[in-house]
This record gives sequence, structure tokens and C-alpha cells, in this order.
Amino acid sequence: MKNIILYLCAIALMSLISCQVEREGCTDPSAINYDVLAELENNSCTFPNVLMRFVPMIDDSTQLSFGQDYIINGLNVRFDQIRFYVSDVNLVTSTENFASEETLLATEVNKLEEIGELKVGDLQEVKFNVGVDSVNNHADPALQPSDNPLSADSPDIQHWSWTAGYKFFLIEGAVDVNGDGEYEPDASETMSIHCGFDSNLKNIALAITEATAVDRLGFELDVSYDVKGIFEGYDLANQLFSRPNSNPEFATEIMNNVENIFKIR
Amino acid sequence: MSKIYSKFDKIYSNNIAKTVGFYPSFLLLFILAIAFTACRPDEAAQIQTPYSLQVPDGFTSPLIPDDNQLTFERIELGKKLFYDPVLSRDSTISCATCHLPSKAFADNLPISVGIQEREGFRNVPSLANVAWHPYFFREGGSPSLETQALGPIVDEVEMDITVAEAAARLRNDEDYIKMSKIAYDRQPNAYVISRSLAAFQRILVSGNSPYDQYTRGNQNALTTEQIRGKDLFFNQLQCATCHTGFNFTNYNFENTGLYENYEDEGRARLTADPNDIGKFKIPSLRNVALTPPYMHDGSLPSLESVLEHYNSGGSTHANKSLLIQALNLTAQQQSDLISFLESLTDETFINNPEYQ
Repeated sequence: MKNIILYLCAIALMSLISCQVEREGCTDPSAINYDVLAELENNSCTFPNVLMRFVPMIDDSTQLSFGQDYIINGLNVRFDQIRFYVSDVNLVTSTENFASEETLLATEVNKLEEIGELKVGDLQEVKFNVGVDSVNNHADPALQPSDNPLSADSPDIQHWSWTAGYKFFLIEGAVDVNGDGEYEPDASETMSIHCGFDSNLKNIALAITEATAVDRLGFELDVSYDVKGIFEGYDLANQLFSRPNSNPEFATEIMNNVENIFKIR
Repeated sequence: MSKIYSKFDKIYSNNIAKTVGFYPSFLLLFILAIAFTACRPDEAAQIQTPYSLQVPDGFTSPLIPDDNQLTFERIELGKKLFYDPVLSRDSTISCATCHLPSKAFADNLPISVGIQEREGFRNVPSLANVAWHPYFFREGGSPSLETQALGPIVDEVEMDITVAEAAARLRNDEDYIKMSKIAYDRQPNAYVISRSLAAFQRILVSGNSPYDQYTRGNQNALTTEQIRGKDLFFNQLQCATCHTGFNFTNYNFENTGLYENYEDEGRARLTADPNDIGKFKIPSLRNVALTPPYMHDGSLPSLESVLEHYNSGGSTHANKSLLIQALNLTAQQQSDLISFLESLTDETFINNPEYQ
């Protein structure tokens, strides 16, 4: 009998103690797994994934299809590739200033790329660079993680080893310069413009014009770019080829236009 | 105290005995697994043999990156890659197609030629003593042999293949897989390709020319003409201001007045600085007699034509080095200078079986 009483007392004491333990959980209201009852943060918070995608547009409502013909600056043009590096993505929301460490390579595939986890809040500004900052631009690409588009092991890498620098923005395609309705397969109508160099790094800042919420389900950020805008004021008929050793000024012209082609979809 | 230990030992031993009794095969497998795993991390290190670079008298020790110290296995892998056309898109050319051992690891074409006869835009430089170069390519844009090694592979007018594709080819070859594992403890990839090619190129040392033998005390190594040319080169003219040191270069960039207008803008291509137009990295003169034609674009066919260029003072250009002035050399002096330059040819270097 004495043992039973002692046993019951122990249970009662344990219950009392357990009632005093604070509930552990995620205490951040901007997290996916926010626990309203939790009093003690246990570092279990997870946040919505942010995915980013760059979409080429031929006008405000039409997405560009690679391999098809379009009229730009009065000439028939076909695009085979438009590719560019996007780095230092910075998203300002009502709850944080988020800086991604990921570098993206926007390609004709228009793939959604994960850039990190963002707290729930209202998006206020989107900033990113087109190109690669000078430190990464001159780092050894063989030392980059193999899943990074800056890695020499990546099949998509755009790099000039002789400069130890990346091709920031690359355009490949054809232009019907003579207007005969066909694209000559030689240099006279083949478009190949490769832009790089530290001086051509472009900082893009996009204001948010419509209320955009980052909610608990995650967030997809579609940024469109105006393909015609790339060639604004550009002599497409006579400026088809650019490399650092051949018409580098064409690349500079292109990159100056690139600064103004992006907007949030 | 010993009694307590004995008791503990007994209990512990009994437990082990029980375990062994119950799970003999499991225990054996466990021990074998540990023994096998324990060997693996050291495997590469145990098999690798450090390579001691023979630095000629009068040379400094080259800086070698910590992650690419020389070993026979790394050099062997790099050498195999260097001579293997697998690194070009259509498997027709290798590094050695342009960098021929008999030509001091250069060639005799004005401009390099890549796959499908694609014409490059510059003359091929010699690889002799590249271990001492602080940067690479004629505008100096590549900071190490490791980063340089990938350049010709991916260049569209040279080997025109992505490193990823080249590495994938190597991963289909048992020899390359094995050699990469031993040399760098990883599958063939960009790291392995760049490091091993750099390792091989670092051992290409040229320091036994007649000129070298003369400076080491062999008074018969140079002819009278060559000695006169040496005196002109070092003491009477300004040649050794740029072509200085054991490698006959200060590695700076200079405009030598080759043209009034440079189609290839040289270092300006990298810096976009108009003051760098027409400036190119000063080349080493070692084995120079083996590597005609000359200058960045191979536009001067012989040493005689090069001397004629310097003798005349070259073309007018805003960036031309102040050192480039008309020399007004006599025919005898020009002949002596050429003889001296010929004394920089290192027969042991171009015939070294270790490099081929």
C-alpha cells in the first residue's frame, strides 16, 4: 500500500514538472511551420522556397520561341540561344532583405531555378546582376561546385579561359540581312554576340508595381525580358558578330541595352 | 584494484565471446569492412610518388600551387592528356599538335590551326619554363597554368569542346579513371584535366643551352661570334631590359611598334584601356631560333626580320615602348646577335624523352 502511494506521488510530481516545460517549436510567424503555441524556438523553422525564372518576350504579351522568325529593326531574325548569368539576387520584402548566393544561368529552357528560402512577407523590390562579380569572374572555374553554372564541369558554362572570365550574355541566331527570305549559313547572316568583362556587369533594380505576397506555399518570381529591347538602336544588319578580339564595342552596346529590358511579370 | 579490473575484463570478455558466438560471420565481415575502408583514404597518397623538379643553376624555384604539388602520377596523367586528341571535338588534334617537342613546344606556323583547319589568331608560344610565368596568354589574362590549360580546349577555333564533354569521354576510359583516382582521388573532371595538364607543363624545363653551359664555366660552349652577340645583347643594347633574367623576360607588356594600327589590340583586349593597345606579354627568348615565325601574329618570318624590325625602330605608335629606337646595327652586329640567340637552343630540352 505504501508503495502504491509513493508511486502515485511520483506520477503526480512528474505531471506537475511536465506542465512547467515550455512548448518548443518554430516561433517565427513568417515561417511555413509557424507554431502559434510554441514559446521556445527550436530552430525548426522552414521558409517558403523562392524560385526564379527569366522569360524572353517578343512583345508585352508574346513569349519568344527559339528557332522561329521575328521582325526586329525591320529585319527577319531567328534566335537559337539567348543565355545570361544572373547573380547576387536580392529581394527586399516587408520582413527581410534577402540575398541569394546562387548564380543562375538563364537559358532558352526557361527553367525555374531555386534561389533560396524567403520569409513570408510582401515583396517590395527585386535586384540582381546580369553577369558575374569580378571576384567570381576571375576565380578558377574548376574549383566551383560541379552543380554551379559557373563550374567548368557544367555543360552550360560560358567562359573564356584566356581572360579567366565568363561570357555574361550570349546571343546566337541568324539575321536575314539581304532580305531574300532565307538565312545564309555563312558569316554574312549568322548572329553570334558574346558579351563579358567586368565593365559590362549590369545591376538591375526592379520596382514592384502590384502587391506581391510571398506566402507559405512558396514563391515563383517570373522576370520577363524584352528581346526587341536588346537591339534598341542597334545596327543589327552590320553588327552580327562580337568577341573581345572582334568588335567588342558591339557587346558593350548590347549590354547597355540589357540594363533596361527586364520587368516583373 | 587489479581484482576489479580482472572482474571487468572477465565480464567484457564474456560479452565479446557471446557476441562472437552468436554472430561470427557478421563480426568477420565488420572487421574486413573496417580494414578495407581504413586503407582507402591513404590509397592515393601511398601510391603517389613526389616528383622533384630539377631546377637549373641560376633559376629560382617556381611557385607550385599547394593543391597541385608535383608527383609522377599527376605528370604522367597530364602527359597522356597532352598528347591525346580526345580533348578536341572531333578527336583530331591534341595539345601537342601545336606544341611540338622538337620546336621547343611551339610550332612553325604563323597562326595556330585548330580542328577542321580553323585558323586561330595568334602565333603559338613555346612552353619552355612556363612553370616560372606569372600569367598566361599574350594579354596575361589567365593567372595560372591550371586556368590556362582549359583555354585551348574550349576555344571555338582550337579544340572546341566543353570541358564537361571532354571529362565525360575520359570517364569512359578505364585508364583515365584509374590514373585520375590515383593522381587526384577523383573521377576525371575539370579539376583533374586542368591540374594534370599544368603538372606536366611545369616539368618542361629548359636550362642547358650552350649559353647556360657558358655561364656555368664552360668557356668553349659559345663561339666568338656568340660571345660578341652576348655582349651586344646584355651590355651595349637595351635587349636585356625586357628580355632579362634566367628566362629572358620580365613578363611585362610592351608595344614594340610592330604596327601603326593593331588589328589584335593585345592587352587592351583584356583591360579595355587604350594605353594597352598593341601591348603583348614579352616572350622568353629561350629556344627562340627553333620557333619562327615571330611576334604575336607570326608576321616576321625569321630572326633576321625581327632584328631588322628593331634595327629600324619599328612603326610609330602612341603606346610604343621608349626603349624601341633605331639601333643602326652593322651587318656584323646583327649576325653576332643572331648567333647569340641561336646559343639559347637547348638540345637536351627538345630531345628529353621524359617529355615525349
